[in-house]
Amino acid sequence: MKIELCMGSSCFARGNAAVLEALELYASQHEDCEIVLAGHLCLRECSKGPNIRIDGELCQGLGPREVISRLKQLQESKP
Amino acid sequence: MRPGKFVVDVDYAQFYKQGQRIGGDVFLYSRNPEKNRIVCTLSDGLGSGVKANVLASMTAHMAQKLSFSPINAVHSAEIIMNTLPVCKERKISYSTFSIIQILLGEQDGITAQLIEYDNPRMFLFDRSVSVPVEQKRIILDRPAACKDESLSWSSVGLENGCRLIMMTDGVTQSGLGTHRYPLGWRRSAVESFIQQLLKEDEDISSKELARAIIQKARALDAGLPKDDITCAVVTVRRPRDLIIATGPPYRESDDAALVEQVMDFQGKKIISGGTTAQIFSRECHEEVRVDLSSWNADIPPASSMKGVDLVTEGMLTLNRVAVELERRTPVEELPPTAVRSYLELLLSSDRVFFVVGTTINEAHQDPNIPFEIGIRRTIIHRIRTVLEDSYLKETSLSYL
Ligand code: FES
Repeated sequence: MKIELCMGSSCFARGNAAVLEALELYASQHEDCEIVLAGHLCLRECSKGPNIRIDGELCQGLGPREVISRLKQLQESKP
Repeated sequence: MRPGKFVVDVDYAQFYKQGQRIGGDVFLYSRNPEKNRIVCTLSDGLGSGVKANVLASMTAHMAQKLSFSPINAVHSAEIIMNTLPVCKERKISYSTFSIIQILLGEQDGITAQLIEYDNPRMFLFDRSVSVPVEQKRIILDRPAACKDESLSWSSVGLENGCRLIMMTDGVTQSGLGTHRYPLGWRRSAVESFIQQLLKEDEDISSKELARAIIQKARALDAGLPKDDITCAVVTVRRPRDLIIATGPPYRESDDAALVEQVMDFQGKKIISGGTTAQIFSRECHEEVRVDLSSWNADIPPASSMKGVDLVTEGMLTLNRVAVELERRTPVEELPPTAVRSYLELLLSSDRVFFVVGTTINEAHQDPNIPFEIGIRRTIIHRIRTVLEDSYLKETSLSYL
């Protein structure tokens, strides 16, 4: 699973710093789920941030806990 | 910015005597507002600790003040000596000193006047060759002192690659009483040590050279300095230039000109800001990769792009760069984020060229971003001021 996080000023200040921290922790505890994290410059959606993309799909305004639960959901729904 | 071909890089390094929290060695340097004169003073107060520190500071501050006055160098030194008290018991002066007055001429000629009183004699190196300096001795009339006292004065011309190195006796006397150095490290051995260092690395910075010398001296004292150990280095060399592009140009039609100006620049390059980085990426057809290996809760990660030394996020990073410069935080103490890399590049440069784009970034009208970071021009102004005033860098600014 590839997760891209917007690391632009606005998204970083709006919460992606905490999201990245949570994701790094989660990834280190769940090595089996092959999470690839990547940073991205401003996605030009600042006002709806913080912005991340999970496997290409834009997810907006999520905090760390919401991102992790979204992730779990996605993994459970996988065959 | 002075148009000269050369810059003068001044720095020093110091250890206090084992167990002391304050030094009896004091080094000061400053530049006049016209930027054509630099004065460095190294003073060693008798003894160590607070009392020595007060005496040495007094001497150094007087020397700095007088050196910027119209009074000539020798007369200035005489005034200092006649103001300094003489120790009643030991009948010697309370404080020794060395002064370097550097004059930057119009036509790139750099001259230095050296005034020395009882410190180990300074070295003049031309690349890795030690050059003897002809000294004039000036006998002073000091009724309070028991021995004849003299100052030495010399004047030297400095070319590209020249260095002046001054130190206190904590360096030359390090290792005193050991089997290998019964009389201490001594000036001639220090000289060969420096020569060796310069042979290995002709371009070593003033800071690194000073540090290497005091580290060796401390090692000779078996890691526990028996006296304050201080070394200061003045290096004349070609300037190291850095260009910083921050903010998108007001008119989009200026994007290409900005990118060209930066990419053609002879020197190091920083792009400060994600949107600015995207402009460069587009114009140069190069990918910008965000590097998630170094960041923390306050500072977004840096990125990398071919041909550019550092790419960072904009306002959060710049704001912290300004704060750390103003606090004079030693770079080694900073966590490994973009701010640290930024400071390393700034501090290893002599001249910094800012190119500031004036488009207002709407993201920064965002209430989640602290107000004080929102104004690019203000932050750049703060960074320039501290670079010029506290770090003696030359800077220039242009808007696009
Ligand atoms: S900073 Fe994330 S969309 Fe602009």
